[in-house]
Amino acid sequence: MIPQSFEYHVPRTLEEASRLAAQFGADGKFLAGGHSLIPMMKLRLAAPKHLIDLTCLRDLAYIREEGEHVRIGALTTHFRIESSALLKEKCPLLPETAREIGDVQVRNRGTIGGNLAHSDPAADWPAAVLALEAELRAVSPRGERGMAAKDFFVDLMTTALASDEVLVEIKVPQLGHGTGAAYAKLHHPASGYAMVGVAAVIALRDNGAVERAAVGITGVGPKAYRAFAVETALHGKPATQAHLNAAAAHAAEGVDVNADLYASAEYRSHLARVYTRRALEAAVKRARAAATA
Amino acid sequence: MPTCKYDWPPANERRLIGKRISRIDGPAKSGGRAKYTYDINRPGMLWGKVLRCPYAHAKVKSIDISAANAMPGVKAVRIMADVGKELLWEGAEVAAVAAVSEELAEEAVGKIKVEYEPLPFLVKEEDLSKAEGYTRPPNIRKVGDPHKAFQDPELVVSEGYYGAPVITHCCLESHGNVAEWTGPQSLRVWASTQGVSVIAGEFAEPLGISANNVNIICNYIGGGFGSKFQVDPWAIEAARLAKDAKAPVKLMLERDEELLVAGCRPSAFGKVRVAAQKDGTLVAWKSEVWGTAGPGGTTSPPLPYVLRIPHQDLKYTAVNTNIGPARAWRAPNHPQACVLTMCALDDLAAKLGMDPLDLLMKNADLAPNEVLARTYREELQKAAELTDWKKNWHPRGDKSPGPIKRGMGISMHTWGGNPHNSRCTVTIQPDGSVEVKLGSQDLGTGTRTVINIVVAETLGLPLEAVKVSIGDNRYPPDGASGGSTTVGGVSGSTRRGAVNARDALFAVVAPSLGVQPDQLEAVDGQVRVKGDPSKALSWKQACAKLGVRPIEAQGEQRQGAECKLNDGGVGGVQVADVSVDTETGIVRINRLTAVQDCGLIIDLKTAESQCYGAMIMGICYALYEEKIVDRLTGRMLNPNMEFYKLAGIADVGDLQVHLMTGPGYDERGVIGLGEPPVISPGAAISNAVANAIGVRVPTLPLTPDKVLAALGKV
Repeated sequence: MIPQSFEYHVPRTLEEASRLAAQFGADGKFLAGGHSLIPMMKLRLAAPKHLIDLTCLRDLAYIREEGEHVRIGALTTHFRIESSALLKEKCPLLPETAREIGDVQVRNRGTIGGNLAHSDPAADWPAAVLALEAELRAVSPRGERGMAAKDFFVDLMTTALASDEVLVEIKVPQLGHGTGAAYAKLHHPASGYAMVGVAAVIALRDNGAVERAAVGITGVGPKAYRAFAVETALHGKPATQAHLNAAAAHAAEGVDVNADLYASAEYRSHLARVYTRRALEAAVKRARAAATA
Repeated sequence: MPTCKYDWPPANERRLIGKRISRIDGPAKSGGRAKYTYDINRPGMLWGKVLRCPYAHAKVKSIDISAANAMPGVKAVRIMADVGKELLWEGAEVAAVAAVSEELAEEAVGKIKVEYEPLPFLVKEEDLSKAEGYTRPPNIRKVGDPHKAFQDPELVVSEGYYGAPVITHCCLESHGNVAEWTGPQSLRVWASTQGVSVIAGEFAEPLGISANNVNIICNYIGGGFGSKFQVDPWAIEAARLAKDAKAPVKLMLERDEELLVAGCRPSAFGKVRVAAQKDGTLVAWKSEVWGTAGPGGTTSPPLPYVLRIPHQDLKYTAVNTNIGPARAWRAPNHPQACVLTMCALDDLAAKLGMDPLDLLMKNADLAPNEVLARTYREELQKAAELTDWKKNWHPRGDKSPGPIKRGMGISMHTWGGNPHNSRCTVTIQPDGSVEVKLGSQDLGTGTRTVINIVVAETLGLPLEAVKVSIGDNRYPPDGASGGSTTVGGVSGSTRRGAVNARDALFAVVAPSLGVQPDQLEAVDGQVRVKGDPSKALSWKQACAKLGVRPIEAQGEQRQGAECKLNDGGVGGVQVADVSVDTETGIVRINRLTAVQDCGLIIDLKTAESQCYGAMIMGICYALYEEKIVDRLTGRMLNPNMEFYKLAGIADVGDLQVHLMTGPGYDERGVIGLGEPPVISPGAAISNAVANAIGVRVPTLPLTPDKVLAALGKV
């Protein structure tokens, strides 16, 4: 339970952070809230020689509306997202997801950027940003770039970020008229991570058919993923219970499903289907409410 | 009216006994001032760590401790399993190290080189057909004529398979000791133990010293549950390391070690047939049961549990496995017997189309004696009232729409709880101060508080006027705390000791009040003449009459002691109300209700707390606990609290406790309570789940995947 020794660095600017990261390469690791990385270091599953603490970059903690988007700084804590009046109005899926993360202490300290960059296969945020089709923006000495959420999660705890890139912002499109979103999660009994976490966004046409479905699933495979098979199955169909059930059946399709002592791959696949259906049901209900509002 | 001088005071004279009194060590515990063994730090103390066998079964081929010995800061290294020694479970002790820091000791353990010869092993016994070569000869017993009884075509017969796996004790304070030599032949051990007065000899013999030169101290203990009776091999080794290193050694287990080697509860699996007449009258029982307690063998759970069904056909097979060492687990063998019996009776009731509560009520006369039969009837009645059973219970299978199904289940149990032998000294000083001393221990059950209440009640003093000294074997010897024997033991000895001390004081004080000693009473901090409160001395004035000679009175609880202050044999009924998500298989406890008797209650609050604790522990083994050992490697897969999950406060639902008191109960005297309420939760919860979802989940724990499997969904 004691991490290996490491050097600790506190850059004052983003440029400095990025430069340090470039200098240390694979030996370096960014530290944000530390609620995922530090436990791994204590278990010696991670042993970076250099920790580059980003918490002084206070400019990276913000939530603001800009045109059709909501922009969230990477160092914004889960709690700030959970309690944001702006997000509750403009993008309620984010506060709803934040509420399901860990406990109060974790939410006070942990950050959305740290969580996404860490890319734990059972973390909550990946499901939400996938379903919201968010853009993840990163800065490096080479400049700034944006990545679609679906391209960001590469593999088990591996993202599309280069080692000297700092994730700086999550840019979320606001939901349109007649659109509903929901997050359904089964907590791991001890850790509180997602055994299964499903974020669903559903846009309904005036005739009640599904115009657009986006489903992000975490906890099930080596990385969070878009359940395209579920989305395709729903597209253009009326949002009836039978169609939701049929679509949810594709939740774990083609996924190398995780197994642990709490949930075999078989049981976890079953849970993925159940929670996908529950998320779809809730999202459809909200979409209908949004359409009549 | 009392007929014997030590009798408990009648109900109308009890100021403290039976009231709801907070435990006296609560502030010390919640404020962090209570010193557990883990908290003991001695000048120059070293840290001990143990190297453990990574195989379920192996022989030591070679062992080299030189590298560990050569490390600076390592003060002693000892081989515990020399070449040729056979090790029978993962985690068996191989060597031990004492070093100046915990980290260094751990590192040194890693430097010890051992070659093992892995040997064949068995770690799973649920499938008896795969345990060939590991089973002991079965134990077969018949009562009546079961063969003939089962042939009666008029009977309704139910058959089922039930079981409970090996679980661990998972004490929150792990096992361990601090050993310090106070002279060449004398040892002091701060031990996390359930038997302060009884373990000195177990240290003395292997160390070659006299038991009377071993001082055992245990003021607080963070859980034992039956796993902390014996002196562990690592405890002896801590003393040896301390001797070699000439410094005190603290050796406490890590969490994984605690789960690996500090105790297994034996498993029990079995096929049960039970037959009844159409009105529910039980006629015949047949069971084929097996289980393991590690390599040491085990005995059958008491079957059929609680009810003496007229015709019985019993077969029990012990399986020797390499799953770890068995230790007594709170109410040994009873939770297993309860699951095997109460689940079978619940299935029988479903087959009969009968309310299971009615089935138990109908057969209450099959209890081992008249007192228990009456107790069960009253407790079943009370449980029905408290849970509004007749209104809320429904036949098997919740027919309401939606995935969440609700159900109720019932179970009943029994336990002994007779007192152990106990001796104490009660001292009254001329300044009025009072101390009671005995070599008992408070497992967290409230023993200190109970002793305090008994002495204060007897002497007519407030609680804070009495000093309770326990947890040291230099005090008069008391029994180990096991079998729910402590409350009967310590209340019996301290009542007698306090009465003797009080009477000795009366003898001194009586002349100055101009009466005979037997005309005095000690009430409200006074010694006064019965029936004439104006003739009184304050407690301090009365004690001042002692001059310079304190009173030192003895009290003893032993079998056949004068006056009956205690008894044994309790019942107990529990009802579980659960919700099951039939899509995920997750079981949630809505409410668990316990109706429990324990004779005369000394402290209602700590008695209720015993029930709460036991019910939570019961929910843990009903829903979560299992020592999961890999069939291929023989290694435990969940030696941590992430995957050996215990219930958190959000998991236990609403706990409701009703203790049976008053006429019919109080006059039995004091009976132990620590174990009985842990027996029924497994069966009651399993029955509630069956009631909710319409099918039986055969074995505990009732994990989501097993619930879905029973429903045919995965």
